[in-house]
Amino acid sequence: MKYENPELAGGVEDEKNQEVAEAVLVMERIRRLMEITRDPVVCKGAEAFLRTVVNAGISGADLGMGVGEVLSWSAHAAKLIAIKFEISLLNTTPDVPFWVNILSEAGEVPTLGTASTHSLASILQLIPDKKRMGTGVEKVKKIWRGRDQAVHTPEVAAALETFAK
Amino acid sequence: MTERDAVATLLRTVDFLTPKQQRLMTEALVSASDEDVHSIGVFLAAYVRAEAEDLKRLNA
Repeated sequence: MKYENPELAGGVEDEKNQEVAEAVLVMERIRRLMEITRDPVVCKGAEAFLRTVVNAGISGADLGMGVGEVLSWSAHAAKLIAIKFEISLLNTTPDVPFWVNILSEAGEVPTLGTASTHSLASILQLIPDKKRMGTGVEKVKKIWRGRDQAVHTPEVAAALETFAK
Repeated sequence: MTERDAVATLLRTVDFLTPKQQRLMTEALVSASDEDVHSIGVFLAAYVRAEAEDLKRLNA
């Protein structure tokens, strides 16, 4: 049975319901975003993305003499600290053995510090990180798509039609 | 589709309620007045419509 009260249908209460629904949706968006940010797969993907940005920055800066060397060697030092104290965020190349980072610095000698030696470790790190980023993006899509499939059904469309203004 | 059936469908669709809350509210629908059913229906429909719009924007 369709309820038809001229005082309520399309009236003040309906407007209030609309406002409350939008407020609940805002809270729900925040909850969903928090769910996404807490997801370990998404976190790994985001971590890989940040690492890629940092490595690209260091590799770019490493093209020049001076600051580039400082950044590059700082990254090596941070990697050592990260390994010793198990602080994974400090390690910008966790999948690259430490000796690769150090050996690649040999390239600075013949090029007088103009070679971006950090880019070798960055590229090696990018291989597993690219996969992590892809998996993270897929997981986010999956979370959203799950809702998409739940909301866009003929049954829900018919239910919405019942309450169409 | 009656408003009562529509509310039951929308209750199953929203994800801000736990399955237990969804079940309890669906059971309560049986004894709810037409006015109450309409009121909750307008709220749920507004929520689902807004979410559908949200998803449409995200998919675009």
